[in-house]
Amino acid sequence: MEKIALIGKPNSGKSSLFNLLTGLNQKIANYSGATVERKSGIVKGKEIIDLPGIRSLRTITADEEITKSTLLDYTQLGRPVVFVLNGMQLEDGLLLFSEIADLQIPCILVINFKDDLDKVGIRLDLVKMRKMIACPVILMNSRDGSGLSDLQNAIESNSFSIPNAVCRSLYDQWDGDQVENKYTERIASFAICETQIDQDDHFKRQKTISSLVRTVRTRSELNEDILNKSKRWDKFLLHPFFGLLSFLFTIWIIFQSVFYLSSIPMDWIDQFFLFLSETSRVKLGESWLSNLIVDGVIPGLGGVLIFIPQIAILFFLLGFLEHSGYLSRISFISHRFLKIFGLSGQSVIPMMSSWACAIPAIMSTRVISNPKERMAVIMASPLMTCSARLPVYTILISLLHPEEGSGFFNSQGLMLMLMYLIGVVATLVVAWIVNKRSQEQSSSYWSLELPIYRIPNWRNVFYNTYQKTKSFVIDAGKVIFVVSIVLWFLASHSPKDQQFITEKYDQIKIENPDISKEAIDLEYSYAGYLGKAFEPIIEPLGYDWKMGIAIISSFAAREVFVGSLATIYSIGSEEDDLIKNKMAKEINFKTGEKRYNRATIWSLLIFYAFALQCMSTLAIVKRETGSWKYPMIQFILMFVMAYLGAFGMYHLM
Amino acid sequence: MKASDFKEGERAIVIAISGSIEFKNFLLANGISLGSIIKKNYSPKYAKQINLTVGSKMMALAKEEFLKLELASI
Repeated sequence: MEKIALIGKPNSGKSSLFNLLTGLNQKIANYSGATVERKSGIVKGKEIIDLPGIRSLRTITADEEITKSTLLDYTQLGRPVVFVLNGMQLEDGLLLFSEIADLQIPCILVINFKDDLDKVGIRLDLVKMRKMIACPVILMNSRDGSGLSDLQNAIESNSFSIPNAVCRSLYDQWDGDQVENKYTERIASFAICETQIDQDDHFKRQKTISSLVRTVRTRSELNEDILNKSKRWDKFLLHPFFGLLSFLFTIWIIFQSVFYLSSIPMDWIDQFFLFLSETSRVKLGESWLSNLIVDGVIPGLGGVLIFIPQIAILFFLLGFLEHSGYLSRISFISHRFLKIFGLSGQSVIPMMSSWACAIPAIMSTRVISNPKERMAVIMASPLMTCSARLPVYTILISLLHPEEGSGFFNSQGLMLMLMYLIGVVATLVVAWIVNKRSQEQSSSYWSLELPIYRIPNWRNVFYNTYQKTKSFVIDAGKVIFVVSIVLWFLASHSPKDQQFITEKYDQIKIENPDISKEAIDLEYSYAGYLGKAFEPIIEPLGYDWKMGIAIISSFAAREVFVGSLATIYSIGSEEDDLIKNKMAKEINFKTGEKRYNRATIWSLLIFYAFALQCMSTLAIVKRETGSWKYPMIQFILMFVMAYLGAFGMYHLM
Repeated sequence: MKASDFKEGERAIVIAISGSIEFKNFLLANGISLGSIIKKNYSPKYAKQINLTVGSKMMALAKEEFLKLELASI
């Protein structure tokens, strides 16, 4: 199958073009380095490959190295590429294009973001440009798809052609009119430039491209208008006082919104699952299947799916930040502070991406040029609060601060912000320790591209939110479905006979008249015996065996904790009620106090803030570091932090 | 002109770069070489970074690295 690569500078719109061409859903964002690995899709029998953005063939980071080696393979095999450049950064894009042209790869040149060019009245003479570089040039906008059909037709009709060397490399050797291409050899062999000739080569390219752009572009200074708007925003958003204030305010608004905007849809979902339980019980009658569905699967799934509105709101707001260009400004304002911990502003985007999920965040560390810093971020970023922790935090926070109706600014939102802050502090401390312990001597230079601010493309933001929420529901749903069935079986079957359990119930009822038969059935079930075997380990943290079962089951994925508790409490109770209410009513029969008291809730919050309960994260750390040593250290370290932190919190509170 | 004298809103041409080959390579990858025209944008002191417009893109360089450039006002 013919392979076609999409090449371009970071943030030139390659991934949105890839999505348009293939109908797939590669991540799109308004910052450099959103794509860190190759992704491919099939279009009309041709494989389109989206490669990480590259600033120059003089590669610096791991993701750029992937693109460079692919390009060198393409040179050998004569495979074509679609080169995408940001129309507002024509000189910059053409500089890289000139390097690609020297590799003599068949190309189609796509000038993207036509809408921005139109906004400031810049016109390009495409006919002249095509003549000058002897290669198809297509003007399009990957945000709304205009011009896409031209590109599709060009790909379909195989219109790729080897461009004129836009400005021939100084390495090429001329013999009369014949030129011998030495540039490919040079690029393949060097990692860094070693001679003055590279500087001269770059200078020559710059000059030639400036002259080319002057020839084909009208009103060449007008893109200053768009830059000036961004610069005005920067004066406010990068300001030492207002910048920090805006950042804190933005984060605060996100957490308040997560609670405030989600409360009504969460009630609807809650009511829906209660209705489903009651209806299923009536329709299915009394049978093992009815018990499995009503006491196992529905509470398990409902316990987690209720958090869809919160997860979707979080993804939507993070998506908004990604698309607006503000994330790069957060990198800017935090760079100096992060240096204290051996990190840089480059670490901010992977760390903030961890708020959604640690897996893409760990992969995105490939954009970090300093290997020591990259390792520190890989080791520490699972401590950032991912979306899987959100259901656990939400339910525990609502038990700790049950007040409702206090408007947009409420203590639940503030408490959630505190939990995220604990995650950030833990991440920074661990990163600092990893940096200090690392023997590797490495240095790197700091640069940050500041993309222009854009009003996000709402279609993309909503679509990304939908995709991420769907993936949360499907990924969590699959695990919870299986865990609910296993838990239901373990919690509703007992190694003892009914007579034994009834006798026990009669004895216990004398001491605790409030206790229900269902609670005793659960206590003497397989789950009860299993949980109690392991209760001595978790008792010092303030947990009982039911919480223990939920914690064990959540080692596959954290969000399972809530689903497991929902299943366990559903079996151990005769009434259909919200999981939150069941947890609030749960009594510790040894002390007569509420099981979920302040100390236990804080202990659980800290345990879940630190414990690495995500198999997929361990697998991705192994892949990125090339060894099981690092995920194992990470797992043990985070478990010890979780256990000691929870122990300390339980005894302090 | 030394880079430290370069003021916000000014435009300049890069006339010399001191530092290692790796540093020069890093600048090249970011589109800065001898002859590049740069413009200084708002660069708050606390950040210890210098915001520039290079060609048609905006970027930030660490201040200590930016000071390795020698510029001529245009």
